[in-house]
Amino acid sequence: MLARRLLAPLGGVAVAIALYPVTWGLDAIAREGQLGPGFWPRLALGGLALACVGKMLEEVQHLRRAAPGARDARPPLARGKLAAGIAVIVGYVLLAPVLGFALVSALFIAAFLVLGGMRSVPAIATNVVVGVVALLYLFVRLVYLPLPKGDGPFEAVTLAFYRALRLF
Amino acid sequence: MGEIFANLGGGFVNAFQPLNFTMILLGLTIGIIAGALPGITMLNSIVLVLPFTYLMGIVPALLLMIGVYCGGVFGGSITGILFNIPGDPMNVPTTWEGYRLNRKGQTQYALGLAIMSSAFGGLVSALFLAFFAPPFAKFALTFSTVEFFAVVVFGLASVSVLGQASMAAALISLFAGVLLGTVGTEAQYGVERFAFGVPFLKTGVDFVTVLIGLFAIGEVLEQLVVKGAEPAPPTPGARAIPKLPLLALWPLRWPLARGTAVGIAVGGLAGAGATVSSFVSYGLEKQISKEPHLFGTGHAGGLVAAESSNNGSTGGAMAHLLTLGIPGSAATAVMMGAFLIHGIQPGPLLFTKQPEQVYTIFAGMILANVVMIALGFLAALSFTMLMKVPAPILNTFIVVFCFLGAFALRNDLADVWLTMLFGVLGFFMRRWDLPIPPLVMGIILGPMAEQYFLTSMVSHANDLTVFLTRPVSAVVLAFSLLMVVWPFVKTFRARRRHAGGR
Amino acid sequence: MIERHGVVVGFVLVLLGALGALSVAAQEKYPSRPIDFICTWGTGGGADAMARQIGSLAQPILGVALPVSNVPGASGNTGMAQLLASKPDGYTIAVYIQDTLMTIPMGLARYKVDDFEWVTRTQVADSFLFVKSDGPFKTIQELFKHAQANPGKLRVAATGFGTVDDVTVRFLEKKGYKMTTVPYPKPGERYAAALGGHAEVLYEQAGDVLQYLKAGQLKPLIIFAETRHPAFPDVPASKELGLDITLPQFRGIVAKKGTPADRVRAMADAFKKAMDTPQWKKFAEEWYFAPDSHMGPAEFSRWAAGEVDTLDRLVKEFGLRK
Repeated sequence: MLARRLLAPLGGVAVAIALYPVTWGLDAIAREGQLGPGFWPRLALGGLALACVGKMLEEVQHLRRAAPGARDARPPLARGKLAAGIAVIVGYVLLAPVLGFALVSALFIAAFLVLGGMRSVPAIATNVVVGVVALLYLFVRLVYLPLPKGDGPFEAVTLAFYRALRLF
Repeated sequence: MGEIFANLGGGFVNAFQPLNFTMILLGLTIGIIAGALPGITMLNSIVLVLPFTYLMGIVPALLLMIGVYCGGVFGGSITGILFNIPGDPMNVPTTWEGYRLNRKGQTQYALGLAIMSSAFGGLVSALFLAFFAPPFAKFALTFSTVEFFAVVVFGLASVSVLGQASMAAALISLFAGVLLGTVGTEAQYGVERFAFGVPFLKTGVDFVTVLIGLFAIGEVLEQLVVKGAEPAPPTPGARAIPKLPLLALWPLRWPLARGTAVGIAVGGLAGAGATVSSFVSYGLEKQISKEPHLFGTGHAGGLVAAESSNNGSTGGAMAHLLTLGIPGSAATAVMMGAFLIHGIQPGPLLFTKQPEQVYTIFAGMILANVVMIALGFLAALSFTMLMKVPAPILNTFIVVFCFLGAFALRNDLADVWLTMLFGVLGFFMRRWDLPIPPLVMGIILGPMAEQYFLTSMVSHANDLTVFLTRPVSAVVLAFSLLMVVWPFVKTFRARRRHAGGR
Repeated sequence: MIERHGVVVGFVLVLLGALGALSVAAQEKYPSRPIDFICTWGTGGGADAMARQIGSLAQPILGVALPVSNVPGASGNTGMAQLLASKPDGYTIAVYIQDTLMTIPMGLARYKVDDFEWVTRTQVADSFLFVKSDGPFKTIQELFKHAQANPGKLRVAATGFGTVDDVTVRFLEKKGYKMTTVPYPKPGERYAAALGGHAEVLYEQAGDVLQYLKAGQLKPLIIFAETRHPAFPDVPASKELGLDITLPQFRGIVAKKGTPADRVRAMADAFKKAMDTPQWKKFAEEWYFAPDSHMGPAEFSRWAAGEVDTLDRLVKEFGLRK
């Protein structure tokens, strides 16, 4: 138990030690007599390592004082849903340059609503259509954001869609 | 003095002209809504209205942007209080207290406090701007990176008063934030740090992506997957009308005054904008307060100090822009852009050559902060109603707005990636008991601290004593040290007293 | 239920296909939709002012909007990465300025001069050294004398190390006038440092600090140019003092290599027309642009390549790149 609680801060120390040498190379460009670009990262890494060591000490002390396991009571976690949620969000960004913002947002809104427990097709469709059209009017027509238009055939679709909505 | 009154009178006449007044109203509305929407920040919205200002004269253009600025600085507190998702970085400290108040069933009180303290801070700050801008700006020029560094350190030191369960965990989070702040292209030499050839790390990590990722996306994921998470706060229902606590402000007069003063000082002198001033003000307030142990549990004083301070910074930052032509914050930098488009360089000449325009801007700013009470009230009311929207719909559109807000930062998908990655990280930080606020502070203040420190070093031949020989910096740094050490001293003394009693 | 979904999906696909076909037909004319204009620097600076100015002036000529999107970072290279990731179809263009060009010889850029279509050079402005008007230095000779007597004591507010500003300071150091470059990446911080006396000298173009010049807070001591500037007849040119360094700040507009020639031409013509408008003339005058600022595609790309060679030589000479 203690080992597991110590592992995370130990990982922090390891990361700090691993990144430390990277900062030496940075100072090659430094002007003579000046602190180089590596100085501040070294400070941050040192602070991170020290804080992690402090955390480990705290855990040891905590274990000596209190009964172990008492603070590990957490609300249960729906792992499958978490994975799906992350996948949908990552997919949203991943596919944005391919499908274009309009299409990818429509898909995302539908997927995330289903994930959130919505099952009624008309309700989902309404959210998708109203949401996407309203967002496009606001962020493409009114304030022009160069949102991704998609690639290949999808770009053509996006442009046509924009024209159909009189956005361009 | 008489001349100022006369000029200001003329300014009010101008500001009340239909077009100008409409712009103030429109700006405030846009600012409050954009500020409140998770993902869309005040800065986003002020950049997005910039193209519209080409079509107007400089005065309506400026009034529109000032409306967005004043409204936006406040707006984020609404969603912070209601959903624990601060809409803007400067509303993070407000959220710490406001959301707890909301959970305790004091939603209306919290919203009312946020509205009133924002309006008060903004109003005092605008009046200050109208009467003292030029001498104040002159004084501000005596401050150099040495003083700026001290102020930022004070902000960083206030992590120690945030009142987390574990100091070490807070520090891990803080230093992780500072480290993240070093990723990307370094400012002095232009070299890449910790980018490892990844193109979107080269750009660096914009703190807004961290903020909306950790808070908004993290919260959405939390709500999605955690069974039996904190039950939703009792829906305010029929009593959803925010209370405007006029009289209730009297007991909070000192936090209010301190918050406003810190806002004006940090916004105007250090040129550091609303975010730094609300962090600094919150830290200071907890240090001074007689009941620091109540901070983080829904303390009205902490909320008032933070919220009056971020609006208080607006006048200070505007003084910087209008009298020196130097934008002290990202928002005023956009306004500078509006001036340049209209072929006007703000600065010393603006004040002497075009006093009419300048005083119309002052009057507009004063008006904006008064009108904000009414518009803020309406906005708080509407957003409270949003709590009745089914959670799946709300969560879905929060993610979409985060996408748009992150994209609008630099019109780049890289920032959207970062936002979503930080969202996942934020979810796990909650589960690992790593506090999120210090990381946000680290990434906002870390890069500022680095740059001010290094510039000071180059400027003073690497002589560290300069931080102690310049009085303002010495005092602020001493306060910072005290703030870090004090909790330890107190525990130590308490323990000894304990031991002695036995 | 499933069948109904199938019908919906099918319908959507048909609709999208039809829209796609329509759009291909509509794509013939250039430009037929807004041109994304990347400004590689933040709002409120000279590059942003230029982009927004020429963008709004070219809009009626091209018949489409040129919305400016600010993509700051890495001396402009963040925006360049975005331009280079876009399609070379003439619907994405970007601002390109001297400071970004400097990153090529410094080895900080991931592209070559040939990776762009150099559409138009919109402005060139010479740089100056400024000091506070109420300060101790009245002439450049006094400043240089002080620098000689107290090497490294005078601080020059500049954009960063390894920049054009820094090269000029290093050049002066080689001539015996040693001063210290202090990097202030944000223009506002640079001016505040000079006005507040936290840096004795400021390296900048005149247009950017016009307010302080007119208000009598700053004054120019030297212009880094072949000849004096008509607006500042009393300010000596570096050439007449025997200092052979002229690195004028330029700003221009580029597109990705491979953009069809007729589209580059269409843009360049529109920008030329925009630069002939009285509004632009007024803007150019206020910012002290050189009268011969304009360059079309062919001329601009030759000139930019030459500039890189010069900078490359200077970088090697001062050992700035390691």
